[in-house]
Amino acid sequence: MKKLLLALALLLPAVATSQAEVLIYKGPSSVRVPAGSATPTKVDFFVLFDLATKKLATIAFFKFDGEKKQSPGGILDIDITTAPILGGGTARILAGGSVSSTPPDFNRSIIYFRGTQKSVVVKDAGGEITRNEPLFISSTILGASESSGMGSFGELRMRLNFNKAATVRANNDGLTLQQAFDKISADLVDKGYALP
Amino acid sequence: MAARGAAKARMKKFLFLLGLLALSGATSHAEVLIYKGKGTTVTIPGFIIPPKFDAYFIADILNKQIGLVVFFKGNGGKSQIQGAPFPLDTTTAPVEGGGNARILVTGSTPQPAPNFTYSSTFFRGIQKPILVSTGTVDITRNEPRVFKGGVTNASENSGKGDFVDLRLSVFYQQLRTVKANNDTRTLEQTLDDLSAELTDKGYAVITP
Repeated sequence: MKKLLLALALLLPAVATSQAEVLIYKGPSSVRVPAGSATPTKVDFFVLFDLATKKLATIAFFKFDGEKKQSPGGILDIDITTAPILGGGTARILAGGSVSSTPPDFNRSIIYFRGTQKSVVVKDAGGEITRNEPLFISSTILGASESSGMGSFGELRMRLNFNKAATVRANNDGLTLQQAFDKISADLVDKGYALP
Repeated sequence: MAARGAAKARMKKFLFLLGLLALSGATSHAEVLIYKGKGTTVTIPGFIIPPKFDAYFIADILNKQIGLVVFFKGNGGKSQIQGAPFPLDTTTAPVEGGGNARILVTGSTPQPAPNFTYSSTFFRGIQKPILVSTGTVDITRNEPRVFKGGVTNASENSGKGDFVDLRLSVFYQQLRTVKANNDTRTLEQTLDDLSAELTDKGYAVITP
């Protein structure tokens, strides 16, 4: 599982957010990592975004060797933008990455999320609040490295759906990204997905 | 005039992608691996490559370089774009079921905030024995028959966002590879050869 989140973990230190409006997505992913990584090729994810503070958090959960497990990925800084797309409308882009190289060693990673902006309900307590953000997000997380002649890679592709119920509940309750992240992790524990 | 300017801008953007970290130039010694396949792009309107295209993908593992020739039909004509060779890192790693994957990768350097650019070129393939030349003796290498990967780019510059998600699956071209290596062609010469071949088939070269 460590290999799976290599690209994420390479990025930036975990930071708690003081205030947030969170967007919560959930969906499957396909994973390619080297042999011996003890990682399944299919993993489900919760991905949480706080666009105001440009942060994201991931929680992977899966069954492996007959056991339910989860792997919280921490909170990362990320850059965001929008761009026009063919056929009209705009895409929300969220990206991050790191590059380091001390030849012959190198370490490269990219995190990339893209979805077409639509109207999504993010809160309904005290009046409904909608945002122009994606209903669906496709994501690519890639990492490759070599150290002392030993190569490694991680390739993760996700298809995420907006989780309206979880998003509205979190924002109605005024949860920060960290709190929403902790709650999802706790809910997964209740469903039998053990923490590492 | 405005359309010409926009076309030039699109071409510059494309060359930026293909030339990520580019140091174009002829290599003094090379062993090329030639692949051919199909790709898709998802990007902003006006990008020079259409949503579906064909491509030659040429790798020079020894010199850690790759090159692309993209070709497609559209607007009533055939077009091709030849990218300059660009350097990347390469490694191998074991895969489930035995064997190793060859990884080819680049990454962009950070930009000063508030601008940002994240770019990655990433190709992966399972290594198998492939014949690469038949000079005085047959030479085989343990390299992929199939590479899958692409170019991912996300950026914002002066408040303007941009993205490219280009995916490519390519298959080993043994005859072309053996011929190129028997003729001791460099990566750049091979790109020129493939481009000329496409020109003969009616694919007009798009130049900035």
